[in-house]
Amino acid sequence: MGLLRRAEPAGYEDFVASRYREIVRFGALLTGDGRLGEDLAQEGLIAAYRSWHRLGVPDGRPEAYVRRVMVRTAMRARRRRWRDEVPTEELPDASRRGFADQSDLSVQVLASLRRLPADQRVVLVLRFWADASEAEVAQTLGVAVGTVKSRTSRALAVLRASGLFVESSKETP
Amino acid sequence: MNPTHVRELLERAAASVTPTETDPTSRLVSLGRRSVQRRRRAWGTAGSVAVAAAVAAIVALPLRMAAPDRSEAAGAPGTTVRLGGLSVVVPEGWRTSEVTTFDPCVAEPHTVYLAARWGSPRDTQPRSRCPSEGQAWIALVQDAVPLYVNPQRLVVKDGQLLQVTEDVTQSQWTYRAFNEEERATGVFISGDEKGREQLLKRVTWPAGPAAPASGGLMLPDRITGAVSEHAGPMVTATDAKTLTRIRAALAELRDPVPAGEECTLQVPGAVGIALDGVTVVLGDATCPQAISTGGGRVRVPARLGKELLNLIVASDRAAAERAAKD
Repeated sequence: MGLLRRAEPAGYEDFVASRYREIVRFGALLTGDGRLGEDLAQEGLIAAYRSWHRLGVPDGRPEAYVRRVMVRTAMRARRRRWRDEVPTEELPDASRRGFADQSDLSVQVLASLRRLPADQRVVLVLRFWADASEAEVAQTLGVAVGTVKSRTSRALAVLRASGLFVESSKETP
Repeated sequence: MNPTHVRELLERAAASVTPTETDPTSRLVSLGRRSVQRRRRAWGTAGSVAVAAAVAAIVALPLRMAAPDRSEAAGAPGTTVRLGGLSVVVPEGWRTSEVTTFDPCVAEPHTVYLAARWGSPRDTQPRSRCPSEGQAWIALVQDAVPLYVNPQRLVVKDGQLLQVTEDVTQSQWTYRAFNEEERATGVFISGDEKGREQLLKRVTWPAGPAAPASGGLMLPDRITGAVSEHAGPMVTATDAKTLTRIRAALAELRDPVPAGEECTLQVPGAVGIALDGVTVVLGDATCPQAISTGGGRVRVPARLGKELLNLIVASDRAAAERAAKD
């Protein structure tokens, strides 16, 4: 039995251990939900395991690959109307769920993200959290730069209308 | 609101999220291993002939994936290079270059690139200032180009439907087979318009799917969702009534377009609709034809695309309103 079992791909476990938290956070922003974000992160990491033979090398850029998988999955989830499938039952106690440090503002930001259509949410996160240029976002999503601009604009308009920014910044109009 | 504030809010929200699993490594390794095993079993059931063909194709690939950097060779006239089922006849006097990551910003003129992946444009250098801007080169890159629901332009070449996209620099165009492969081998061609046309003629794609014997469009037996783009954002229909109407309207299209009479489907005007397993694109009055990635090209009433899009938009809005009430 042991003879047939292959060794785990070198570096994968270290990668997961060191980057898991940040990847989950990226997933949380892509979905507007910590739990769904963790599911999304795990989906990306499992895909990375399958491709580790080419990711676990110098210049393999495994995190970029995981993020690409997560973005694609988040967009496909839009097709399945995932946003309608966000659990609506009463949430368990925050301390037991592990999302213990959520301030009111953070909760509001995630709730606002959840209200956005997935395509707008993904563009917003890639542009402002992942620091991607409009051209890079367009390339990643396979849409025109103009589409990135319009989605960004719509997303910002929704967030502005939510009043969130009045609380976060005095400079907000 | 300025970008800094948006970033600050996102960072704050992200920082508040703590994973529920404190040590997920062993579970992910286990799930990953099972995922690999499932794929191997799927390959096994595909049959030894298919596996042998795949192995033969891999062996025949000119791209040496293990190559750490790049290799170059002068292209003898008439030399053909292949990647991902595509082939390119190297122009006289051009070089071929095998690279692991292709960065279009530093592409050298008169070079045919074969690459395993696409490199992101440099963060600090706007694309308009790339040294390769306007130079004549061509690159075949594996798994590089995503499928668009509503492609900028669809043309037919070698019997294959191609998704064509103009890059922001306007001197570089991207081509891929318009099929349901999520990311396909992409052909990136740079140069002036005439030069690009000449280079495109040197690329050969495998033939696409044949038209259904019925003469109509290949459609899924059952549709569970229809996705399109409306003024930018995606819109989705999932209600049975709308989906039934969409499928019935598409199934009624039975007037096939003979070879040689195909026109170019393009936006604005053309409407792409992603169904279960196939994508259908319907043209407007400028090209009143419809195609399915599963096969088939038929004549279509010029307004049908917009009518189906309106159905999807209405369904999407109704669903959003229901969700808001809930």
